[in-house]
Amino acid sequence: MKKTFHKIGVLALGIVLLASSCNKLKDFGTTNVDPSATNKPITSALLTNVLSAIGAFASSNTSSLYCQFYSETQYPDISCYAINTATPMANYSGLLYDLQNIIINNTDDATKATAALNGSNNNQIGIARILKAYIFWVQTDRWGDLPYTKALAGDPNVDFDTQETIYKGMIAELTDAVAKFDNGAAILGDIAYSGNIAQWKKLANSMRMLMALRLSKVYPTASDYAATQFKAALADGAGSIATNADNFTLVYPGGNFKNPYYNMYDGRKDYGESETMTTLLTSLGGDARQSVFGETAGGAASTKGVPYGRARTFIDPWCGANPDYCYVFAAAYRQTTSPLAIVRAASVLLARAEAADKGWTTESTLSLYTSGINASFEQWGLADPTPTYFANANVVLGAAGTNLKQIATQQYLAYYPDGIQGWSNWRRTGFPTLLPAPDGTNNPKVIPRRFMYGTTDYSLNATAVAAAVARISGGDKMDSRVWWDK
Amino acid sequence: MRKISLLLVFLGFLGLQVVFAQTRTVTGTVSSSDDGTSIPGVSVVVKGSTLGTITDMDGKFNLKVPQNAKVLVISFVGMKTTEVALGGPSNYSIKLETEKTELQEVVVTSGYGIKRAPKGSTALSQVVNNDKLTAVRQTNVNNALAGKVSGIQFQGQSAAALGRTGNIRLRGDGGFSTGNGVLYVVDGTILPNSNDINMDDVEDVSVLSGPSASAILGAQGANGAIIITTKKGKAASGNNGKVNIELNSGLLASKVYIVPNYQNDYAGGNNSQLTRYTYKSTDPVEWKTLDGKYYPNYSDDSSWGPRMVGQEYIPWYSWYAGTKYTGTTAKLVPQPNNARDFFNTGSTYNNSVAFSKATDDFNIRISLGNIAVKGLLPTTSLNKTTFGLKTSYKIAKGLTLAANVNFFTTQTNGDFNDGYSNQSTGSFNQWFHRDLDMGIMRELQNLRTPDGIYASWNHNDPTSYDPKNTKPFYAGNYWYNFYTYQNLSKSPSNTDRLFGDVSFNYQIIDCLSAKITYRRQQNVGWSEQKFSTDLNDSGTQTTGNEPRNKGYYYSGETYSNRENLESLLSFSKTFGSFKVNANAGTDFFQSIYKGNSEQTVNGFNIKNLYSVFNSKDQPLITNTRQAEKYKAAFVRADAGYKDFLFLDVTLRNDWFSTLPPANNSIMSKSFGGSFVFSDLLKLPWLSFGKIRGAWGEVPTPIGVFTYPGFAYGVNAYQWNGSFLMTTPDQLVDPNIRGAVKTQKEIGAELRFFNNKVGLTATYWDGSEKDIPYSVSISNYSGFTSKYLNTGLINKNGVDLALNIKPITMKNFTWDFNATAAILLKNQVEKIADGINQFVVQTIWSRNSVPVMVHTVGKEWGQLFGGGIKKDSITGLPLLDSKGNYISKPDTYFGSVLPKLTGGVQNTFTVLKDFTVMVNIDYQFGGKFFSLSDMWGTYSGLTAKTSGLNDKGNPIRDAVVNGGGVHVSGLDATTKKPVDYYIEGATWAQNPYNLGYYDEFVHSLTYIKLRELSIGYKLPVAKMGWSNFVSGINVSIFAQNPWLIYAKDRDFDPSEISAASGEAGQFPGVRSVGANIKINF
Repeated sequence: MKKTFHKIGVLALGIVLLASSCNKLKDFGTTNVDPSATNKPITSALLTNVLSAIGAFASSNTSSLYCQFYSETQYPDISCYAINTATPMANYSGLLYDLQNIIINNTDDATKATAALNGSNNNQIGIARILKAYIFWVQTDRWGDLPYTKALAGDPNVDFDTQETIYKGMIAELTDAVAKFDNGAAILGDIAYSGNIAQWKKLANSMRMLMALRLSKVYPTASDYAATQFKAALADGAGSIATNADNFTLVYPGGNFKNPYYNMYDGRKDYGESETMTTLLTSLGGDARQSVFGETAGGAASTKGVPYGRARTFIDPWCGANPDYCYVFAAAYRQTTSPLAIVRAASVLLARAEAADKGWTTESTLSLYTSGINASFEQWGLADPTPTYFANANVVLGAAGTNLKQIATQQYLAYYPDGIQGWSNWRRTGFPTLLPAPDGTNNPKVIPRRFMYGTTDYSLNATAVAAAVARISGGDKMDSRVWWDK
Repeated sequence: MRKISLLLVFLGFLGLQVVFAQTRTVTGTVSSSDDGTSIPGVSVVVKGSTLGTITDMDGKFNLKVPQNAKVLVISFVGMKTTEVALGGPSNYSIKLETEKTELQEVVVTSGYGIKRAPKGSTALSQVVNNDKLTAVRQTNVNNALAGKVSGIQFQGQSAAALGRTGNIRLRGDGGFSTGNGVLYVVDGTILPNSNDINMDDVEDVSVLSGPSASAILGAQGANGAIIITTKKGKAASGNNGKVNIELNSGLLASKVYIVPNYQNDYAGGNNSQLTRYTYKSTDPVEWKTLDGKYYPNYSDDSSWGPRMVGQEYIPWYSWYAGTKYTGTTAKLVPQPNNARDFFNTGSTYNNSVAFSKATDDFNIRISLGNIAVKGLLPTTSLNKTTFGLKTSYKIAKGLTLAANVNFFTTQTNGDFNDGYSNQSTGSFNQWFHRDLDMGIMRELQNLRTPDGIYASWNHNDPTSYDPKNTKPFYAGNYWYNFYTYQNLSKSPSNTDRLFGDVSFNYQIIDCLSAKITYRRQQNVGWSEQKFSTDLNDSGTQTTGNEPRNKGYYYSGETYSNRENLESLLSFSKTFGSFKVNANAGTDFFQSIYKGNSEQTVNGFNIKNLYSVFNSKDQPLITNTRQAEKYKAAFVRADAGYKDFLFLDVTLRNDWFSTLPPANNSIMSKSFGGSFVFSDLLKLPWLSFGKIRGAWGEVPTPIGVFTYPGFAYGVNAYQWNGSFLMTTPDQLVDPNIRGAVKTQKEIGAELRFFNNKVGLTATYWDGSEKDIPYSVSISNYSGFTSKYLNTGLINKNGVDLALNIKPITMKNFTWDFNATAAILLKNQVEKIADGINQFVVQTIWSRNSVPVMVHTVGKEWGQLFGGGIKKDSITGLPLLDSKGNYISKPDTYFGSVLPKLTGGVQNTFTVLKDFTVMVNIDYQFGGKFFSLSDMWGTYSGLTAKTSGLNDKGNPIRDAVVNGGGVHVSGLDATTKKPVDYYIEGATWAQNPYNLGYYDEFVHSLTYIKLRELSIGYKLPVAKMGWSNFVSGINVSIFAQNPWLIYAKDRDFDPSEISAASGEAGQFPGVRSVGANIKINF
């Protein structure tokens, strides 16, 4: 028995030792710390991340198909207007929040000193606001009403703002951003303008003009909101983008960051330059930009665009039988290292030409029109067009106030291949005249005028989406119109 | 040693045969104590020797025994083994009793090796023995369990995907993902999945259905556990210290069984007419003979081509030079079996040998096994070698040292991609030409053009031929020759898994023992992928969906190691009428995981040089390091009063490294009671009657590095020297805790008529609350998800098991076992404030294609997406003015969970030595979405895209000619009945273009004959072989021989690849095999 008690005693001691280490039971040291991540963001790295991905907005296939820059060569569904539900949500949690995070880190007293190691707090905030405005702009032009004022604040149940609120908000943001830039330390991570604040200011003023002009259907007159904003931006001392050197351009390094148009034909050949575009260029008496806008798969010059909006049974054999049809862009312009111009001097100059023609401003329509077209040619490395070109009946301007068709057509061409701008400009002006896809599967067969909200919107944000949809006359459909598209 | 020499003799090696001196003869008769009939074939052995015989047809035996023989051992299957002392008489009359305790002999094993007789169990306790599990020799425990345990749903996988073991659901499902999965425990070691369990080593499997049974395992066992106990060296009666050898050798042949129902009327391409070919001077000279002949469209990968009526045409391969087919035509005839013919006949060789020996102080069992599989997909294979060692040794009085070592090494070749656009079923069922002759495809797999382009059935049309650049014509447009692709893409991998334990057990006093166990489960793996640049050269658009086709090399290595240090005190004592068993223990756990991978990006610089540094762009490197720990302490006890009234209780506390440090302690608990009333009632017809009830609650932890979250990594690539960072998308609640899973159950176990009829019924009710889940939130917040304690799932159901022995005759017995699990409810009650629904699985992300969601107030796992809009009053479909259905993008198609699952096992014993097993399992309810059906219909492959309309005309004929598909419904605006005929192709493509998918959502209901076997136990004694062998069993068997019922038979609903459906499913497979098992 004594031996047994002895054994039990040893055992009891063991248990006591174990129990006394109870505090140690809770302690796991750094076991749960991820060794390959930090909890302190580097704002310059966030900025580089946003800029590295921002070219996706200026190379959207869906919009370029709607405005007939491209045709589909083998699986025509978007260009035959198959139902297109999508959601802009990913951009909110992605790039937009990265920008918001830059603003937060440069604003919060606890982090702003660290953030300032990457450049002046104010300037980082200013750049982030401009880029936010750009992303919101291309989103709202697709869907219309979207979360804006209360978005990016951590609250998932955000009401949708009207497009009017969004536009006025963006324009106010740009105005304020320009005003608050300072001469502080140079910005790091700016792979677009290398920290050149003067150029960022010009970009902000240019975007403000382009946004204001987009509201020309809802605010047509020279005394309305749109014209007022346009004039104010034009009058800003920092100026706007007037030469291609000031374009908001990304020069891709290639390798793991390639120009998005390179990817278009990397293993697929789903798209071609549309016949709409080649016909239009021909109707201007020939346009040297065709040598840039498209060439054959083999790299030969061609003016054979791909018929637009035709069913697979037609278009697939057509492409087989017409190997000289045009790919989007000549190969030299879609190399892995090709630059991608997102906001361009040509667009800004032509916007000013239109504003002048509308009587919003007192600038010279003709002079801006000419320099806008020249800038577009120069942007592609082409010589300025000849007087013959400017004399063509479809190019030459008429009496003041009657030139929307010519100017809008040149705007359309200047935006190529940036579909979101081309499609929006067409929706706003109606020029050039586009016919719906002959084999469209929608009913009625009309060119879509907006994106429908996505399944995830209905799934995650049902109440807010329902309220937004209730405001759309015609409902959440592709042929309903956004606010500025009256 | 003698056994081993006998084995050598048997195997044809030299050996010695020892002859004993025999000095006297005993005779006797063996009969049944039930009815007095004599029993032939009974084994009569002298205890402690191998001397023995079996009884003849009249139950008589005659045996010469040594003078010193003292005891005879009389044994027979289904009867109690009886020992007879050899005394004066030389003739014995021996009565054998039927083995009545058969059902009670099984022992339920729970965590930490704690065993318990099921008589006192308070929660449903199901044990499946080796003979039931391996009647048909399976290589995977999940397959072996299907239908045999109530409360299980087995989601199998096609046998074409080597190494995939499927997934088991116990009592419905939970969590806010696509499913929880169960825990697999082998001799106390937790395995990460059900791979690497040698089924020949398995003694039995205990199934713990939920927290009320598995609380001792803590959080890990919250979803239930499959507890596997392996065989150990056992001292057979009269056989102490002898070596037992078991050889098991089997062969299985597998063929494709279930493929979709294809149309066999129309050929490939998008042109319903053949096109006339006119020879041009720039065309290759060997095409001259084709001048004036007709060809179909090759470049389109759909089957909206010409009707196949045996007309002359130019097949795809005629355009390639250098074969006997070059420049020839063929007859355009249907190839109804082409998809099926692609696959090989698979083979599986399954061999194992086990040696075991046991004495009073020592036991050991060593097993070696090999499984060699040649896959159904060409070039695929799997080879698994297993080693098992289980031993224990009493090194001193009361002190036992035991060790378990298992080693598995598996080599696999093959990619087994069954996703969208995979180069087998991804083509056959979605984008394909129905006229392709697979025999010629196989024959021409190495055919290349002089430029090195591999020939493809999906090359371009001859109008695109350019003599200066032949690739656009000869290369595959979207697809390769399927065999070529298999040859040019290789994915070898290797996994080495080592697991087991070492333990000391010390019997402190009679009623108390202590055990210390060190346990380890370690995996080392590597995998490679090699894609030839020939794929890039042989395809025009094939790199778009699969960038690896540019040329690709991947190399990845992983190391993981899980270690436990466990202590266990066990106490067992009887106090008067009370019997108490109690345990207390601790479990300290740590795991580490290291993973590195390197892969080329965007092709190679040098063709076919498989090196990471040969990457065209900067290679992608991944580097993962994870560590996790927990510490646990637990106590459990059960007490029985007079062996009819039982109580048990379990408490376990865990501290987890992954939980917030201030709050990282969680407690699991369970208790229950049971009452065996039959012992009190003593009714003659009631053999056993028990009611029981149990309750359990198990909190769970959260994943590694989840808390505190919001950590910024650095992106893999830099932009000209500027590094990139992305803001994390998940918010983490600082007070994050584990979910709490609770289950209660009440049940009854009844057996009647001398155990001939047995019924077990359990009602269970469970909840999962405060589920910590990364709830998708509207990204408008700036984040994609919020990790928080939220959510409530309630579920309940009934588990039933019925066992009947309808016939127990001398020469024929029938054992019938049926299980049924009724899932009454498995409802998502709450997700989070303001969140009604979120998406958990997406098969196709566009055009409102159904996704899997969890929705408040609905059954777990809804399919949600575009459906046909119906009139709210009449329920009729609404049509637009062109006769098209209208999409309702927020349609619920139902839950992915079946409502009723189970199986039926029949065992027939004929003439005592023949055993026939017929194992059926079934499932009712539940839905899945078929992407293959959608694209297969879109591209004119499925049977429904052919045939006649109600006018008797082909639906593919133009509507103006009386063709088209008849559609009726209500006009969406006027609500008046309307009728239309829609062009066949438009009708087939409308669902995707317009967003309604009702017809592609299918039922998971099935009834399936999963296993069939006929076994024969050779009468080795009668054959005079008993000196060599103690038993030989041969069997022939079939796996998946017959899908008895499925609502539609395009896919085997028991093998759907993803929780919500399939995107390019492999075919169902049927196998037949033979096996021989020899015991020495």
